[in-house]
Amino acid sequence: MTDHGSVEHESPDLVGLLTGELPRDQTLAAARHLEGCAKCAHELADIVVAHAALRSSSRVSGLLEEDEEDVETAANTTATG
Amino acid sequence: MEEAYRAYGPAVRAYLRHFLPREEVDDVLQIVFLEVWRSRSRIDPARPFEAWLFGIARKRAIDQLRRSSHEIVSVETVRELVGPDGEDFADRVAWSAELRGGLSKLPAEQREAIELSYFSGLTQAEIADRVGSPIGTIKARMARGMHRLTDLLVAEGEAT
Repeated sequence: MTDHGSVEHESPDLVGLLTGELPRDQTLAAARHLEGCAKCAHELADIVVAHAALRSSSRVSGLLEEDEEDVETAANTTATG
Repeated sequence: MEEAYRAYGPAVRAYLRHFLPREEVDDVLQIVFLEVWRSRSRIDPARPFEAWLFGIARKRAIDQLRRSSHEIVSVETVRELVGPDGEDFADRVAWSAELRGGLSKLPAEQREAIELSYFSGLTQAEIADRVGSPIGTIKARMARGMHRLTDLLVAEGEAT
């Protein structure tokens, strides 16, 4: 792995990579880039905790919101039934 | 105490609502925060407040289910609350509350972009359309926000 130091280079879209927004070719290109670029690998490490926490929170929020929707559906059914 | 209720009341209510009938939630919510207030001198600074709070909520939800007049409680509810997964689920809800606290410390534009991505499922291009900013700006906001958020979460973890 090399460190580009002050040499300008084109960084992959790391947030897009984590959120699965990149098409296949860009995803694979990003993976190849990360294998050889210490700077970008470090950048990725710097945002991966936030990504993990956000995904976990999104799942938990989804579960808890489903409960509220169930209650509202039941209430509407009772009101109209 | 009021500050804790304002910050965490909705999340604790949603957590309790996952296990308890709606008509029982407010009573248990009051019991949880009363216990927090009474036990405030025993708060362990080595443990995240959120984990402690949701640990109490979990215990009081179990108490409520035990004395509840409802005879049928789903296996899934029991597993998520009482079984080996119970503490994990409470920890995940606590971590989610901690994350929300971190998000609230970000500049509004960074927070908005991150929330639209992770909680509304929008792509960066869709966020750019939604807020009327260039996609490059959205990518920069998200990257900066996630760096800051990681810093906040790591600092919180190291402080406890």
